[in-house]
Amino acid sequence: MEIPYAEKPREDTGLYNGKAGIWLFLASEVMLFGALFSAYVLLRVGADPGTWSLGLMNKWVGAFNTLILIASSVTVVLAWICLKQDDFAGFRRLQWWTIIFAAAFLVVKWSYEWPAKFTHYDITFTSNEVARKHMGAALPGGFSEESVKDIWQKRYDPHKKAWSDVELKDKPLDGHIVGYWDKEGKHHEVGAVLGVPFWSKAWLWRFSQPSEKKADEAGTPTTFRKYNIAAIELAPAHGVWDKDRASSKKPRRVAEDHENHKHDGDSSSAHGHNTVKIPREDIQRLTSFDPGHSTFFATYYTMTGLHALHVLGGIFVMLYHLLPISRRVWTESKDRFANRIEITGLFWHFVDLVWIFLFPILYLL
Amino acid sequence: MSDDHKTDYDQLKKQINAVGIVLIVGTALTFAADLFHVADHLGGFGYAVLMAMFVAIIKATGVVAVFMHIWWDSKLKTISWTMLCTFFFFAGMMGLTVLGEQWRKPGNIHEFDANTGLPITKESKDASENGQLGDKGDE
Repeated sequence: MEIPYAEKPREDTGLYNGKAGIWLFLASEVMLFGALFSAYVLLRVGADPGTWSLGLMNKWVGAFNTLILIASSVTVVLAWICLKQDDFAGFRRLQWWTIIFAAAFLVVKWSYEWPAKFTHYDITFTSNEVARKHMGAALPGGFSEESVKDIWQKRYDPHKKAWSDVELKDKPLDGHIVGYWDKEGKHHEVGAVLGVPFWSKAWLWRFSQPSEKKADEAGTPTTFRKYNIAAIELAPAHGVWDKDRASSKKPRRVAEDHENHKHDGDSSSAHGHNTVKIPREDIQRLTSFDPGHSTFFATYYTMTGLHALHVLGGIFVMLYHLLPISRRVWTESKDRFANRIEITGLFWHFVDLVWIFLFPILYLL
Repeated sequence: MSDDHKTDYDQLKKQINAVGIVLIVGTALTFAADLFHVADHLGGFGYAVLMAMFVAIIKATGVVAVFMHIWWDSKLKTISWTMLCTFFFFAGMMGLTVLGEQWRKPGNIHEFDANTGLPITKESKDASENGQLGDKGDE
């Protein structure tokens, strides 16, 4: 049985059925992503000053992924033109390039960008004095209000309106957990996984005084209870708290009472940073940059996650078009096969369109 | 691309490459503007939003017009109507949401009057309190 209007357009719509279908689907996608964009704008406009953690994003990674996606958008439409010019080998070559670009986008996102965030921690403190002490240990020259103000405003308060509204204890010190001390005083390394620093074993840890107290009472498991953690060893964020340290040849300071670290800086997990020892009782809240960290990250993961699923779906469809069956369809009806590729391309361009708006909104503005 | 007219695909390839360059340049411009804090020099965050969205819309137009080949589609009507209806439906829904959000802003509505069912605004509350004071004064 022949499928009607798979190649030639219908008289009433002016489109072959597949094309009409994909445009209807894209219309529904506009609604879906549009609702999320609107939610983002409303949440951002309604957020209290000093709570929008946009400054924690790595803009260079975002820009790199944007360029990758642009390249894939060009190759996917050129692949379709190859078919129109009867060049099946050219189509296959360009389709493979599109898949490689798309896969690179996902690799950057899912093996670097997200894991780097899941192992990056924010810590707020129980008092201003405690915050002052630990921030002073993190900054190479000791505590400086100007330095903390500069770091905090860049990360949480780009409009520079809320410095005096938020107490020092609620302004986080951030970095990577490279070790911890248990209640017997023994130090444990939390090294990198497979030698990759952002695949740390300290993955999605969470602590807050009220919830930990409840967990202690109820006997429910938490990371801090499981490892019996008395204090953590934090390497403050590279190039942020410890700006000059990366280029400096001075010996690295390490957290006090750290038996396993030599003071000449040869620890494998601290990666050339200073480290700070923070006792559990000083920590008010500890969280990685996961969806529960803040409203910003909740929306960021929702939107980029949904977008990444679209990229993954596109890869599967493009791979299907490279299976041996595709050559058979091409041999039977060139127009029909070219239409399939056109429809896939329309979907792929929509994925690119979404990212064109996601990049500035989530990384720059 | 509509199949019912002859297309110069070599010409189309050039246009696609040109749009590709526009997309890369647009991304670089937006990124550079952020890196060098251009909006701060111009006057603030509003300028950053305007610039970023202006470039994003130009990029999106290039993608829709050339990559999705709407520009040459002789049977534009179906797609245009679909997308226009989508846009207006979506804009309407978002408009309602935003208006509702404005209405619920703190200080706008405190509570509803049990007798009339109307929202008690700051003004009506002030007027009501003044009236009560007047009653007390009469006593």
